[in-house]
Amino acid sequence: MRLRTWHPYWQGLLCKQHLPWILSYLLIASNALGSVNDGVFGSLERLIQLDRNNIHTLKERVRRDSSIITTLSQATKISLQPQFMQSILLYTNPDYMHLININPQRKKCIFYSLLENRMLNYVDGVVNDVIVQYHIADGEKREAIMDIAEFLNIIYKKECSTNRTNQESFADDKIIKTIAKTKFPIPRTAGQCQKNYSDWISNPFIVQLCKVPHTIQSATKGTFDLNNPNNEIKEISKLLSRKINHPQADLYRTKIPFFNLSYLFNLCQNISNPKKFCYNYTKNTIWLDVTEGKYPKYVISHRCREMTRKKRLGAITLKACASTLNRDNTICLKPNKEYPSLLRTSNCSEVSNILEHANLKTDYHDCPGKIDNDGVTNIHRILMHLHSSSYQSSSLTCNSEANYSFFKLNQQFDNINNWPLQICYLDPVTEMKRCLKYFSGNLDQNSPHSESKVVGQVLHNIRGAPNGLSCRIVDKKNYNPNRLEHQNGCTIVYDTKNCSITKCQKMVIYRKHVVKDISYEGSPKFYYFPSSYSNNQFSVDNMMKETQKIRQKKIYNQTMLQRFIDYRKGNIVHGIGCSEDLHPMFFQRKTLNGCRPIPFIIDGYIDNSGDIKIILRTSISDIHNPLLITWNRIFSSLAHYQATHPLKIWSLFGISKASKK
Amino acid sequence: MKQLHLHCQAILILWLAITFNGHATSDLPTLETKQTIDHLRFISKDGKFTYFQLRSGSLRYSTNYNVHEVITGVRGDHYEVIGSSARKKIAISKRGFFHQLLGVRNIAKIYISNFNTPRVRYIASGISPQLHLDDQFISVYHPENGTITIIGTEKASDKSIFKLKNRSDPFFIPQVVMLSAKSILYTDLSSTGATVILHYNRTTKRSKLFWRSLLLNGKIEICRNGTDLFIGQFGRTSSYQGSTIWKMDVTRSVFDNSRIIYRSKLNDIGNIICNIPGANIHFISDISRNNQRERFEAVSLHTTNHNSKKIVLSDIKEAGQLLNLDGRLLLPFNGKLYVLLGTNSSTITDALEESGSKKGKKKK
Repeated sequence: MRLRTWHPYWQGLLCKQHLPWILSYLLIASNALGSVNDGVFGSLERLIQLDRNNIHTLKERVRRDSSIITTLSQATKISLQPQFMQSILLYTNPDYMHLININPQRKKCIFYSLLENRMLNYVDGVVNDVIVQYHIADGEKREAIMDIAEFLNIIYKKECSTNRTNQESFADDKIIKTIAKTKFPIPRTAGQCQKNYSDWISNPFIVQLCKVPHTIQSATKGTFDLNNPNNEIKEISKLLSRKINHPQADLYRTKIPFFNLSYLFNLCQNISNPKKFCYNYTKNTIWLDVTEGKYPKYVISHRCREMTRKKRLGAITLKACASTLNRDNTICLKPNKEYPSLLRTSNCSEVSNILEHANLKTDYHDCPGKIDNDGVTNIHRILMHLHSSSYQSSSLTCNSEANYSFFKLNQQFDNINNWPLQICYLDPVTEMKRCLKYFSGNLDQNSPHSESKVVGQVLHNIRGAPNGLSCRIVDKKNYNPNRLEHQNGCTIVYDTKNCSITKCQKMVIYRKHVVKDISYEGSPKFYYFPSSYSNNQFSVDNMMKETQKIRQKKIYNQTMLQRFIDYRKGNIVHGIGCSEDLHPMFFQRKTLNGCRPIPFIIDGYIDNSGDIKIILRTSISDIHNPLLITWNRIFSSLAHYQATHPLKIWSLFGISKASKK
Repeated sequence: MKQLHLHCQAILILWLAITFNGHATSDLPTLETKQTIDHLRFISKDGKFTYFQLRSGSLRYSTNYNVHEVITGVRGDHYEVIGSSARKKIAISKRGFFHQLLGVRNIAKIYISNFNTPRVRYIASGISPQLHLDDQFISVYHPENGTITIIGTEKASDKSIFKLKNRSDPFFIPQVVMLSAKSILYTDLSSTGATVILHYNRTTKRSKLFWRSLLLNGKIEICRNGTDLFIGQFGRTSSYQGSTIWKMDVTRSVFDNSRIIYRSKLNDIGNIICNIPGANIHFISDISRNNQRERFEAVSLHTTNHNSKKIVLSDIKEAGQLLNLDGRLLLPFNGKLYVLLGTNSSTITDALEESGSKKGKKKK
């Protein structure tokens, strides 16, 4: 805390009324402490200590006075005790003080409303009881500790009676409905935003609305402190974490729509700063540009689904997501367990800046952590870009989408015979092992190679299941053997959290029985670039050239890279490099010629006055969180991979669509 | 003539652009070797023996003009050879389908041999093998299971396996340091992406928290040199920045926040090497100043003097990795190996070893 925090107080009307009190109090107190050299204000630490001492002395004094109960009923002119009031001024959020000061006609009512909603603090924490001073019939001044409700009952009889009716609309059982009916207008211009802000400041329910983010933040802070493992008293903290629950905060988090919550956070955290409130709606970032149609929706929609857990996103929700991404830079850093990938290192501002210069089409959300061969991830991304395809991905389908892209490539190249993944069983007729090629998931229900169809075919062969049977695929958490639809037909059940394409504990259930005669075999091994002249034909690089009608160009240096990307919109570059050079902050090279090769895509660059940074998406990083890297690091990764390659190939190629003749 | 002059100018400019296009150059010496570096996997400090790999997938051991096959292998196998400052054992990692199964998590077969002998035996499957405690133990990480295995190098039955809690980053590779035969420190990730150091007791088979980093999405490195334990914390994002290195005694059972030997406001890369002989540690640091463009160089920090400043060892502006090759400190960059500490020549001792009676070339 710094003395600067005192300035808003001096400007406020309320503070000016108490200014003589505070000054004289401080003069007396500083003299009492003998701290002449410190002057009137002294150090803030001394003030805080002084305040603590005074409040505790006051409380002791009041508690010892047994005449309170009898004299309170005769009380006139009841008000908050001045020392207690000073303590509140010292500790309460300056934003709330600003709200009081900016509404001079309603300042008292706003203050009492803050008090009623437990949003004021003093030296001992949240104000739950108040210390009051009152006069009795003979004019004698007395002091007492009162319950807030009791105090406000007395106050509301004389003034601010509308507070009572306002509060009723926001009672615990009504607040969710009230907020649902409240309009939260999204400003489109700076002028509109200023007007919105002024309307909110004078809104009679502003305190009750700001109680929502206040409660959630208080709960979050408490939880974090309890979880701090540096607390040596771990047993007590465990106990506290059980005893202290936050039902109100949980209610707000779960029941109030994301958009409304996001709006309230922005409003209440910036209640004293209209520029910052408006900044989140007018800040020039890609997030807002998407909502205005300047960029495709997928730039924000997959991230928005991650944040809101909604499948369908309306314009209002997208706008709320955009303002949240503007407001909270760190949202883009949170690990995503539904689509596991390398830890994200670019915050929302950085991602926004990068995406403005990026070319890759990314209307899907893949999950590199669930794919065994990172080459499959990269191929999937390239093919999705070339075809401008889209998926409404989920954690259940994300790895199947990548697998399916790779399968289609092999199918187009007529290379199904070499497809590595197969489902095997013992043929009851020939008593020989038979295997059928499959791709995981059910993305193409008409394909005879979809996992659903292949398992159905196997069941037909070994269990006499109906011909053409197609199994449903269900996440373990959604599987319920008592559900009618799960009792009939066949179901493939697996835990999407612990599954990759080949390493997955899958259970095939047919007519309520687990089928154990089926095995999933094979792993996706293939040459991304050929390692010898004999395996050139079936390398992925060659398959793509033959089937996708693309042109490839070897890229040797930064100038070539920049020129290639600038030449045509949609041009991208792909390659394979050592992860130790592409992600030196994640992987340490410990041996001579040590290398963990990973494919990557380059889809743009940023020229910051001659400082060129290249937009990189490695096959292990989140597709929607690209990184910036220098050419030297890319070169280093390529050179180190080249050293390990039998053909010493330079593995960096630009891909462009062949122009139509 | 004028046209010829213009053509010459254009050619000169083009040549300059191609030659000097963004490639950092260095005045540091590069490692000299008897054969192409691409094949090499390990060179001893005195250059007397090397491990190298053939295209056929065979790993060979060469010393005193003799070559032995260590592991036969098949085409497509890739080897990594790991030593330690104790120089008693060598760990070898053999990864199959190196160019067919791309990724950082692919499992390798780990072999162990005595230092300076080519005979190996299989010890475990996993990645990131590391030797500990005077090479008495080896640790291996298995990314599919999320487990760390500690095995005695002489007594394979002396084994412990424990699991990481990480659910945040499927590509996370933990750091492991053994404080004693029963006591292990290792890194893990919390659900929020914060790195923690846990202490595992092999006797009780339980882990407890040693320290939690407050830098979200940052990384922690732990490195042991004798009785000194170094803990490095390095930010990886601009939202949570800063680098700190602590030095502690290995006998401590709790983290001591006061023993800071290095601090920076910038995000260094880290990759600490702490077991090059001497009292210095080496890592990659951002040495830029005052909002200048980032500049990453290898630096050395004296650890006994707590006020010491870091000494810059390299001049390439974009260093990323450091390598301890049996006591030589190397900087791999752009396909070259720059020597920062130690001799740059592994060809010095080219003479045959005297075997008692006559000298002479032995047949391979």
